[in-house]
Amino acid sequence: MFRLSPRAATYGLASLLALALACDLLWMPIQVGDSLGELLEARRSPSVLSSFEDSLHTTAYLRPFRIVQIKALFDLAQYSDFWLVFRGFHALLISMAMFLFVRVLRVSTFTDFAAAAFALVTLTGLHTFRGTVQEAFPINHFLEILVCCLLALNLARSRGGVWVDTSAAVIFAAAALTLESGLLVWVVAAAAWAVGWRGVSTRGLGLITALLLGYVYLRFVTLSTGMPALAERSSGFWLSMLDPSELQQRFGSYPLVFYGYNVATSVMSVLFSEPQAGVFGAANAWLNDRLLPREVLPIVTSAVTTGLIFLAAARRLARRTEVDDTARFIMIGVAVLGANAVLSFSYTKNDILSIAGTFYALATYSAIRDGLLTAPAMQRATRVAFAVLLCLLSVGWTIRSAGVHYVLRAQAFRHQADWVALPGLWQRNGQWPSDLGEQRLVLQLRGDAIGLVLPNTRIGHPEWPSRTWTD
Amino acid sequence: MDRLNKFDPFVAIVAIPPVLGTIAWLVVLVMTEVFGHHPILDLQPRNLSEAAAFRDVGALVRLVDAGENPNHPGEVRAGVILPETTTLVPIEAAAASRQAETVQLLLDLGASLDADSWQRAWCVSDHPGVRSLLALYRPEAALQQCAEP
Repeated sequence: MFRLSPRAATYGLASLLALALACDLLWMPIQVGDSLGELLEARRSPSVLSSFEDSLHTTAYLRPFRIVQIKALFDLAQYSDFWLVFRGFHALLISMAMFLFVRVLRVSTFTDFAAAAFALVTLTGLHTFRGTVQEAFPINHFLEILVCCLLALNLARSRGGVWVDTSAAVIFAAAALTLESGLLVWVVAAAAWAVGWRGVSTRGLGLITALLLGYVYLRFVTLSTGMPALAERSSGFWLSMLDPSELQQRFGSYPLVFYGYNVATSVMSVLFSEPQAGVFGAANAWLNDRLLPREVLPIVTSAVTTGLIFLAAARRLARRTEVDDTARFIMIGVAVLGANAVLSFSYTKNDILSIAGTFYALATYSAIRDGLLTAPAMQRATRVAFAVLLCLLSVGWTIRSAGVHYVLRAQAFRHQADWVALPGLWQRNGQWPSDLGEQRLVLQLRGDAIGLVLPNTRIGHPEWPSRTWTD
Repeated sequence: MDRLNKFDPFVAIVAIPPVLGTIAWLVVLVMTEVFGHHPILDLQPRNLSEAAAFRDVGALVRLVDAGENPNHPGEVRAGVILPETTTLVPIEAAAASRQAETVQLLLDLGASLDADSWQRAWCVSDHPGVRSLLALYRPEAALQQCAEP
């Protein structure tokens, strides 16, 4: 008789989830905003090396690998298919993220499998995950950093060796030069080392630390790249978004207040799903008497899950037991959350917090597993109540996870509308490219986007999806 | 390695919702592929006027590319613009759904406005964006006056 091992069941579930996400990502046009400009730049660049050199001389950001990757994929797409290359790369990245997430859990029992299933829907259901799938610029670099952080954690749980140390250093360098969030790879490696996962050895961590110092020197001394200014972009504050001029007006004299708000709300966002991008949306909805399930469900599921993580941690602290894997996942999660929140000091948004959200899901795995293992020792009434709580929580996170499908359908419909309007808009604004090759590229991408038949999320029919999930 | 030899209710109540949710998600995708439309978000326009009313600009372009006339009136099903089925030209449907961008797109796609159709579009929408756009295309003979409802 065929019997499925817990590990195979977990990989099977993760594969199905990755397949669903990949299909949804492939059923989506390349986006216009933050993407088409990059593609046109890539077309103008004569080579990958030239793109790399040019990207070293920007202000506020040091992200040469981001530009290099776009150029490399662009050159590849020129000889095949833009949609397939860019969307396919996104689907590949999401599959890698799911695989690495499951791999690091080391599932060996069906209790582990249940906790892993819960963690997978927590990972995909958390609002921060949307940042890894909803947009691409034209590559989703937040997802790349997420993959790098999960790679680093997998290496930390490995048996170690020279190749592991070298790989960790290469991953850190690539991530740090892609986005600032890439510095979190160092946090993951250091936190894993501190809790006793030393696949990346002391020597390896020293190498990554040296690279981190080198990055700081390169950024602030050699290239004088600097930091994003207060009024760099819009950001959320209390109940609304503030545009750069409003931010300057309110916090120009006291930027630390705004930075502190961003760090604190970033932590709250991951733990309680509120506020999101600095805006207390649910509170705003409640004040305006239009609170819907889409605002209530995330807060309730996140708050209860955070409570379970806290309980698992508190139990270990109270008993002063030896550090086990449950404690390790939680401690690494706390370190990554803190560091990710600090990196969000200048402006906070869900995309940036996708790394902390992933490590929150890992901490959830350990807390649920811990709860399942301790449940048999509970008194009968407590056990029944705990079972009901876990069931409702699992259903709640599954509903949140299924919302990703709705989010991606809505996003695809928006991207298509942007492509449809683009030529007329650019022609009226005098932005239409004079170069024939650029015109051809825009029209080709537009044709690809319009060719996709997409379900309509704009008309609100039926109404329940838009009441259940925020698009 | 552990095998699931006996039923563990705790494992089941935690694991079943994610498993069923993931399968349901895939079933929706497969059904869309097999039947050609999404099983939940299944509102597909039957003509240009419905595409305009549904704000489905991708379908608008596809239908015009397929040869549909952007000035030809089409039936819009009940409950979208009016409680009953109604027949409108695409620009009227776009104006009624308060979408200035869709009105502009239809004009870009070759829709034209004579005095009658302009006045119907003007009167069917009180949306400021739609009205300011229509004002730019007002034929001389058209009146910016609407009968009292």
